[in-house]
Amino acid sequence: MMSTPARCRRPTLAVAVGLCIQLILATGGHAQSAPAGRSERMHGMDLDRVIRTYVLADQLEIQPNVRERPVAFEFLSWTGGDYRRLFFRAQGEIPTEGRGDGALQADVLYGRLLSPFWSAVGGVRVDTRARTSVPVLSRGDVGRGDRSGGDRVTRGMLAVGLFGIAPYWFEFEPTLFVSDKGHVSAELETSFDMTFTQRLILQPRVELNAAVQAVPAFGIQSGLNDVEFGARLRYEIRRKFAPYVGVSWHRSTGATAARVKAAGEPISTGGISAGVRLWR
Amino acid sequence: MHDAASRSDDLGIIVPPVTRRRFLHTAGAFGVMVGLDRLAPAYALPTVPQHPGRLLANASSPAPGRFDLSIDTMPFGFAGRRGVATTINGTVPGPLLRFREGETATIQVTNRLSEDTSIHWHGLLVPNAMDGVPGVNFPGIRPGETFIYEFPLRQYGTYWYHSHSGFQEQLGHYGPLIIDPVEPEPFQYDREYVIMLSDWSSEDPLKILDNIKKQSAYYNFQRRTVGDFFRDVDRVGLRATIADRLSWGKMRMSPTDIADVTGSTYTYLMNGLPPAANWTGLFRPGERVRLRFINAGAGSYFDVRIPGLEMTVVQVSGQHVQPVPTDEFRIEIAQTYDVIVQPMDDRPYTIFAESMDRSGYTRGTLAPRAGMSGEIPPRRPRPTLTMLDMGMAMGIGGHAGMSMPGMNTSGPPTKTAAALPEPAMAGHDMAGHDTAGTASMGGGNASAGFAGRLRDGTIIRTTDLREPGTIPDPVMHGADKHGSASAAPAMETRSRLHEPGAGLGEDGWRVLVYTEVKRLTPAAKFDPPAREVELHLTGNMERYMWSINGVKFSDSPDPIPLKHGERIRLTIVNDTMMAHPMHLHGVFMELENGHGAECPLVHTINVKPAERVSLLATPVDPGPWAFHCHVLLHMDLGMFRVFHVSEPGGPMTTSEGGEP
Repeated sequence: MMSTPARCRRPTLAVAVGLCIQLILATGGHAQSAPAGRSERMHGMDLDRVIRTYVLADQLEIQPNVRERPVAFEFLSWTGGDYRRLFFRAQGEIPTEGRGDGALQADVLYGRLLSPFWSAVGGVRVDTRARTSVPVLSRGDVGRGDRSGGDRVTRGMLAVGLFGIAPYWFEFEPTLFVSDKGHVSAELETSFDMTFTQRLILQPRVELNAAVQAVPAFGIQSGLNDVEFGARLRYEIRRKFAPYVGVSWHRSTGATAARVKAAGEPISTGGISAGVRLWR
Repeated sequence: MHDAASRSDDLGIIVPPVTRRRFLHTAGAFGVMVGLDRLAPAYALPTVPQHPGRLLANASSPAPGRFDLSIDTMPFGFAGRRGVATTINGTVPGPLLRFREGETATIQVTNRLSEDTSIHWHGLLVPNAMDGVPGVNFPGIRPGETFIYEFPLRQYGTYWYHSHSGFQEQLGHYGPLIIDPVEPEPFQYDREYVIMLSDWSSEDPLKILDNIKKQSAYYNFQRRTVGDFFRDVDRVGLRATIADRLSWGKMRMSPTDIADVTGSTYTYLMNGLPPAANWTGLFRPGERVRLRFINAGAGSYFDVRIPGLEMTVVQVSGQHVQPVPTDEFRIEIAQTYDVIVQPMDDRPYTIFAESMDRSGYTRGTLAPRAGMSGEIPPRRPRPTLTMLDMGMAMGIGGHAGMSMPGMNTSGPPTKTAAALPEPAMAGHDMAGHDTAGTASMGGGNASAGFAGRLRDGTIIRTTDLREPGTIPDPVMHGADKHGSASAAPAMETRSRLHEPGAGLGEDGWRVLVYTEVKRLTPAAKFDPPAREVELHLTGNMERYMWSINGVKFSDSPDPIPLKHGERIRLTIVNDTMMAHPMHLHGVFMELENGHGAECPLVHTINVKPAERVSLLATPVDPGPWAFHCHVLLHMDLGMFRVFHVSEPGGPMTTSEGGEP
């Protein structure tokens, strides 16, 4: 197996393009509300109609003691108004060592405010991972759902979910996916901000991944696949710029754990991270 | 000095105060500015006495009642952080405009900006076309154009004027306005000063809004921390602290959300000067000094006191009230309070104005000589909201007892302490399901006086209305929760006029409350209302949305029809957890604070979180009139409505009618 630089950059490129579009929109949105346009408006009392763009790099970090020393990221951005927003969400990792290709899940979702704290979202996801990261057990598994050939597996998915804040300030983004092969999976992530000082904030988070069918090419088994706990302590030098350090613990569960174990890999891994949280 | 016994004497013996000419003369001799910030506007230089004022003495007023104003921009800022201010005749605040009651005001406004501008005469009863709200009363003043405002002055008092276009008001487009009464005033004073409070940020207001839209607590650096948790455990115990945190968490609300934009970006100004510049007004010991306080802040309430001096409130919203001695008052945005103080000692007195959230302050000094500076009082801790602010139904036992400090119990006990829901509200609940209908409910159901609901959710009642001048009873919220624009609407709302407000009332000194305010002479005519119009103030802090009845102004709600000469009761219900200074254009409102025909006249009223306030009004000037929250961002984002007063004898505009 060999990874070419071009292939290696594909997920990175996708994220970069997505972010660029969002940043252009962010600039454009601001320009639209600039004074020059203001005289067109009758009251100046329609500022809630301005299309805004928010870009958040919730995680952008190096994980030094994880295999292949990946740079991991989690982005969320939206463009829209009070009620309707187009979301772009991406998470993944890019190895800085070894031959791995990393992984990327990128979503484009349309969201509508349903209730004061919840938006319903629906859209598509692209899920692409390097096969090197998949514990391959049988020849028969290989290639299923694999479109890119070589050492990368990619699939498209439809996504529906809810974005919002549950009572007690838990941020939730539960999402249900159906892949182009009809495989159903779900992702549940929740996080919480603990304010230690006005600038020092601890963010614990939990992520669960579950699937109905096994998709071995992606290392996915039926049932709850894995659980990840993390806690990141950030210091908001400015609201929009906060370096952080974090710890995380990942554990494969159920059938996934059995397969991982069989492949000779540890079912639970822990690590530290250091990164920066940014938004604009 | 105005104790109850001497009050009638004060009212009986009417001594004309200093004449205008004499006032200007003495002001020129004694008022000085000291400790200037080098970026302060030109008018604040030491050669100019007493604030911008004195316009009547200079050439800018070609004739009595006539002023020429020019709106422009100028670099402005403090401590090296500069922005661009919108100025009036080159200053921030703009010049003092002084008129005499009965005159005709003629004000020529020239727009030298690259965008539209406007001036609204806050609290003045003017013909509709002169009210100055672009899109409501007139198209606005285009760049390069000159607009001539002309209107008769039908009232006396302290007022102010400001732009009603975009963010200009945040950027310095405001100034004081005084109308001297024809009748001699019922109090005496030797000297007077305007104290105009405001807030300034060097950040572009558009950027401020963008930041808040993306993170509503962006400017709040006083959130509760883990440390606060343990301090509260020490003070009230673990159980109560956890219960408190859970109840806030359950509602997804922050008890420290007192102000959206705070001292982390604002510099608080007194007469256009930051605290370091120490605006100073001079006095001779023993003199009676009239201070005309005006809150021209875009987003800041101020708590005002002068340690060591009793303040006697003599006017509210520009109108005479029975003198109330007090030590501190909270001035909501756009309100005016006239107070009289009598400093006896040969020492400086600090005029201290803290922002309501305690994130900053401004101050000035009353001093016998220039160059003096009074002691700055210690800062108080930031207040936190309570269960009452949440609108928790107090009928549910036990909750009131666990509230955190800041819960005020001062003021006269009123029947609002009762917590029983109005039985009539059962009908209200039913009506809540009727979202599409217009005025279709009513008649046969049990709802007291419920006559219908306008398309935007405004509730109309026509029968079984309370006695005029009385305080509303606590009411449970109806079934209509106002949709996704309204997060956690107050379960129960009640009158809170007797409360000084979050963070006040526990310092051991007097704080003015609205139930203490009575008009000087009872209203000659005090009729019961013919109709009640109930509006709910709504918001969603998470998305920073502000609306009325869950409908933003940009959603194009119909104007609310009022009939010329009709006696209406306007009931404002605050379903949010922030205070909103609500302002109705074109008519004085009589605040129903329990004093019947002595209910005070106001142009602006602070509506506390989970408060239910009712006001009476008899609109006579026909046309569309703005009604809105005076927190600039709340207004700009949609907490705004138009009331349409019909022509004399003409029909009311229907709810289906388009925007005028």
